[in-house]
Amino acid sequence: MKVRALAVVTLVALAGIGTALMAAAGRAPAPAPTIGAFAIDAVHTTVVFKVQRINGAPFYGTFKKIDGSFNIDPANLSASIVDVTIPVESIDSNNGGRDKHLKGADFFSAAEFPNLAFKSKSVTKTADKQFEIAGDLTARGVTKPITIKALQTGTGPARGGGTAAGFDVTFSFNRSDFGINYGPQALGDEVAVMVGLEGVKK
Amino acid sequence: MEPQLIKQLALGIVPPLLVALVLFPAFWWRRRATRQELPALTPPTLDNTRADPTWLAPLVFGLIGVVMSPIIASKLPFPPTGGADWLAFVALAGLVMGLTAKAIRFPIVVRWLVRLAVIAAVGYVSLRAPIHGRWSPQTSALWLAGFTAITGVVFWAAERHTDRTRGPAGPIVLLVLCFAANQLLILGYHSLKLAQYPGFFAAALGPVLILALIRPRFTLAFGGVHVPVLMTAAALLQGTFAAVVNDDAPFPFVWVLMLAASPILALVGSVGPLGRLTGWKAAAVRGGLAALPAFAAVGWAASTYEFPTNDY
Repeated sequence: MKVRALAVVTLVALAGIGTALMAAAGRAPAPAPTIGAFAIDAVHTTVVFKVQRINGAPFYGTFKKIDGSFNIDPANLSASIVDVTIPVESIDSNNGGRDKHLKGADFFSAAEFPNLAFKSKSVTKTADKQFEIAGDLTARGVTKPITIKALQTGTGPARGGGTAAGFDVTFSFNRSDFGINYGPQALGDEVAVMVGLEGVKK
Repeated sequence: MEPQLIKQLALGIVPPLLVALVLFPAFWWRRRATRQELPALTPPTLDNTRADPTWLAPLVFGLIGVVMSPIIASKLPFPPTGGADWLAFVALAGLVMGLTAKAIRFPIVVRWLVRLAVIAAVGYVSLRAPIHGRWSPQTSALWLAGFTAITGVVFWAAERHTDRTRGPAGPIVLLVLCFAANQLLILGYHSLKLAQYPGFFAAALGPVLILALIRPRFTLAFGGVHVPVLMTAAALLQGTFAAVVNDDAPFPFVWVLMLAASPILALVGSVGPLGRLTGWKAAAVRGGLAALPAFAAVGWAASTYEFPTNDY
């Protein structure tokens, strides 16, 4: 009996050490801006998502943080790139309890998969100032190819020096394709994303 | 609460409850204890349970876990990516282990080595993303060691209740564990989805408990605890991990340790004069003891829970 008690105490102590070390679990670093590309200006970039509430209205939420870079050059489309990372912890649905739920295992599982990411593979010009960007979207550990649309909305001198460029970016995906499949009775499958993307090249 | 949310929660409760309500009485109703068996109601052994449908519990619990996991998730990615995507496979492992425990009694060392290996594997798939992406080998090893240790102890304690007694004492301890885990995952760790996994077994164990009160010969011996304990432990591990990393629960490890203490404290009900109690008296004592730390943890978590200001 003493041996068993000792074993139990030892095992529980092990768990306690695990607890203490848990705080050491870090997060994946944001990608470094590509040389020569526009570094995303997070202050002037807005990420909005929309999902349909079943029997209700479309619901809009935002992500407060975004990192990465882009370079969409109509003169050299083969060299154009878009590389974006969005920390899931920055989600804001205008309700603290809902934010916790969205970050949790039921939806984005931010503890396991801290970032959403998009990395372009090819950029195609479809009309004047309009582009289609094919690439890989990664969410909740699943990577799927998608195509996003980008409309160039402005370019010129940036306030702090350098050159600014802005795009209106839209795309959509089915959340169930990425394992974000909880609550189909309450929320639609399709998620529309709108990004007011602004970057600065020094 | 919105009707859609109620529908989602009912989806995890009603089917397991109905399956247990139909199948357990169907197979156990005729297993009335004979006059010769009554004075003893001897602890179950492989020999004296040969005629009993003890295979039913691991089979039903296993199938509930395997079938219900994709149903509540609506669509499971394959290969699994997140820890929650692996829970159907955890149920499958528990099903195989449970049925094997009924069929073959391996030496205790072999049995426990296999169990601890399976528990560690469950921990690994539950925490696969941080182990491969962010944690050092030391941190990963400590998490897995802690999980394996705690789950091993809970497994041992839960099995002491089911494998050494007949009647409602075993089911009630397991019911308290699963129900408290369900509530803790909602109130403490903010996950309705993870809460539904122990919720399956809490729902199924309701009819089982009533049956065991009526039929004192009933036992969950040899395989009954495998699936509920493994799935509940995996769901709690993922809930605890998420709560710690997202920093949205004040005492996630304390709560989970209190819950783990539940079947251990209930063992006091098997000692001395308390151990000679049978039927509803044994169930009341062990259920009460199990409920003390478990419901204290739930109450504590509830006291920190920020109820949404409106339905979302």
